Amino acid sequence: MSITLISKEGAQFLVSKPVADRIGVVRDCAYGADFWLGYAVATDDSMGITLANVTSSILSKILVWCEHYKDMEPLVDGDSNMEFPEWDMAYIGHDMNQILFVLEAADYLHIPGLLLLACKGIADVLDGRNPRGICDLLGIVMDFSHRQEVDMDKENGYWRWFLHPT
Amino acid sequence: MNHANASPLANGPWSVGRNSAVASRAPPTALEIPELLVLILSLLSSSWDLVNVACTARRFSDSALRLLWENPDFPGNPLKNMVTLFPDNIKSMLLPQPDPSLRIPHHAFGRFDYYAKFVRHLQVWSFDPDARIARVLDASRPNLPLFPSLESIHLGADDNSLQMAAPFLSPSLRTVRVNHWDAGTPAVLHSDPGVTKTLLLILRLPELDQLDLLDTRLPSYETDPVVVDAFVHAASRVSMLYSLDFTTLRPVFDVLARNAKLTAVFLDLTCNGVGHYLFDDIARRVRHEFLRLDTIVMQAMDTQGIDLLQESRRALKRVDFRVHGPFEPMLLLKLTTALQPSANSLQIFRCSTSERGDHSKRTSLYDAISPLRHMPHLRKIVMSITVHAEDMLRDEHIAVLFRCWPNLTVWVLESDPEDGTPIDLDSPGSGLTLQSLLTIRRCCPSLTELSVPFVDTMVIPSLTGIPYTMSRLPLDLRLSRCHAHNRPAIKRFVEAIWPEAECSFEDCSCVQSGV
Repeated sequence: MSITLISKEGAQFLVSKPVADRIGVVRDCAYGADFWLGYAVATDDSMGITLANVTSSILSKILVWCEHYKDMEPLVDGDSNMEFPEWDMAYIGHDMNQILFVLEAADYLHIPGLLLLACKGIADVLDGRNPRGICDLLGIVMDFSHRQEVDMDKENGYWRWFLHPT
Repeated sequence: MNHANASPLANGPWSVGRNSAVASRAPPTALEIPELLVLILSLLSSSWDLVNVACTARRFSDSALRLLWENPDFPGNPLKNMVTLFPDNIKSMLLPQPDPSLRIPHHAFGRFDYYAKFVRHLQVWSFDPDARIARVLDASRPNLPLFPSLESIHLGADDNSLQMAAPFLSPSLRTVRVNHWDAGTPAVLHSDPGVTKTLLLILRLPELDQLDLLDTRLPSYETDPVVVDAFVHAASRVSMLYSLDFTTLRPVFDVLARNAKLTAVFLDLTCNGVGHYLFDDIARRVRHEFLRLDTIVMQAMDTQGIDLLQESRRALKRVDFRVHGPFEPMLLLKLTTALQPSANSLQIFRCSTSERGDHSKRTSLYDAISPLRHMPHLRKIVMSITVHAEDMLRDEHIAVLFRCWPNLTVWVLESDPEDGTPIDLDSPGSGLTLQSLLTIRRCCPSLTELSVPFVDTMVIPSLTGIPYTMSRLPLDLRLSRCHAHNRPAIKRFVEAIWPEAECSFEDCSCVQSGV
C-alpha cells in the first residue's frame, strides 16, 4: 500500500505504508483519524493527504528520516547524556535554519523521534556559544538592561564558582 | 518516494544562509513554544551552556534558569553556596558562621529569592554551617519558606542537625528522605524535643506523598501518642511509605490498608513488638486490602517473605526482598516461583542478605532464576546472595535468560558481597566466559549497569567477523569473585562492545600481567 503526501506547494510524494507510519498525522488520517483533529482525510489512495504547513524541501528531508526508521525504533526521549546514532547526527547537521524548519514540521506532523533529534541538533549548535553568539545565531536582541546584564554576568560567576568551587 | 516539484526553502523567515545571523528580530516560532524550548535546553551538554542561554533574553531566562536550578548540584550544603546571592556585606556576616541573632533585611533577599524559587530538589547533609544560616534566614522572615517550590529533599543528619532542619521543610514538599546517623546508635532517632518537632513537621507536611525513613529508626516514638497520630495522618495520604518502624503498628497499618493512593510500602515481617500486627494478619490484609499496592519492600526471616508473596497473590511492579539470614539459590528459587502472579507486571526485582550462606547447599543458579524468564517487563534485577562458582550460570544459559528481558537496564549479581575475602590462585573456578558479555549486549540493548561474579577472563575472545553493534550507552561493569590478570586486554574487549564502559575488577588479589 502507498500513500500520496502533498506539500505546501502542491508537490506530491508517494510513500510506502511503513514510511508513512512514522508520521503521526498521516497515520491518523490514513487509518481513521479523529474527526475533531480537523485534518483532511484521504478517501482513497489517489486523493492524497495535504500537509499544508510543510514545504516540499522539508517534507523530502523528513521522508529520508522516515525511510531510515521504517523498520526500527528511533530514540523518543533522552537527556544531555544520551548519545544519538551517528546517522542521526549526520542527518540533522548544523544548519540552524534547516533544523528549525524540521523541528516545526516534526511538531506539526507528530513525529516524536524526529522532534527529539531536531532539538538535539539545535542544542548541539548552541553548545559552547556565548550569549552574544546565541543572539546573533537566533537573530534576537539581548533585552536585558545594562545593569541586568552585569547582574547576569555576575551570576555567571556564581555558577562558575558553584560548578568549580575551589 | 517521489520528490516531484520539491522546491528549496525560499519563503520562510529563516531563509538566510548557513551559520549567518537571521534578519528577523523575533525568535524562531519553534522556540516560542515552551515545551520545545525546555526540551532543547534539557539537551544542552553543560550547565554552562544553560547559563549562556539564560543571559540572552528574558524569554529564555526563566526556562534556562529553572532547568539550571531545579536540582542544583551542591555538595550537601546549598545555603553555604547560595549566600553568594546576598549583597557582599551580608554574605560576609553569614560566612563562615552567622551570629544567631543576625537578622537580614527583606530587600536583601531579592536575588536569593529569584533563584530559590526555581529549586525543586535538594540534598542537605552538611549541616554546618547550612543549618545555622537557615535559622538566621528563617528568623529574618518568619513563615516564609526559603525554597517555596521545593518538591523533594534528602536529609542526612545527626540528632543535633535534625533539630535545625525545619527551615528546609517547605510546605510544598512531596518527597522526604531522611538518613540519620549518630555515633553509637547509628540510625536510631532519640526522643529529643527538637528532633520530635522536626519529625512532626515532616509528618504534617500538607503535600507529603512519599516518605522514606529506611535509614532512620524510630522505635521510641511508637509509644508517643502525638507522633503516632501524626504518623497515622501521614499514612492516610501518602503513596509511598518506607519505614522500619510504625508500618505494622496497628493504627498505622489499619490506615495504610485503606489508603487508596498507596502504591509502595515497606513491611518488616520480623517485627513482633507490642501493638504490631503479626504475619498472618499482615498477609491476609495485603491480599484483600491495599487496593493499589504494586511495590513491596520487605524484611523477613527465612521463607516468611516468600509466604507473604504466595498468600497475597498480588501482581507487583517492584519487589525488594531483604532476608535476615542466609540466602542461597534454593531460597531464590522459592522466591522467584512465588512471583509468578507478577509475571506480566514485574519491572524491578531485588533480593539481598547481609549474612553469608552455606556453600554446601547446592542448587543451580540457572534453575533458581529461570522463573524470571516469564517476566518480560523486567528492567532491573539485583541479587546479593551466596552462590558457589560451580552453581554459577554458564555461557549457554545467558542467551536463554537474557533474551527474555529486552528492556533490562541493570543486572547485578553479587556473591557474598560483604565477604571481603579476596580470591587467590586456589579459589574456585568460573561459570561464564567473556563471550557471555557480548551475548548480554545483544539481548539487552539498554543495559547501563552489569555486575557478574565468577567470570573466566583468561581467554579474550576475538570479535573479528562477529556481527554486532556497539552500545552508545555508558555502562558500569563490575567483575567480581574472579581473576582479572590482564586488565588492559579485558578493558579493550569490553570497550569494543561498550565504548563508554567503566570497568572495575573486585576481589582478585593476584599480580596483574600486561600492566
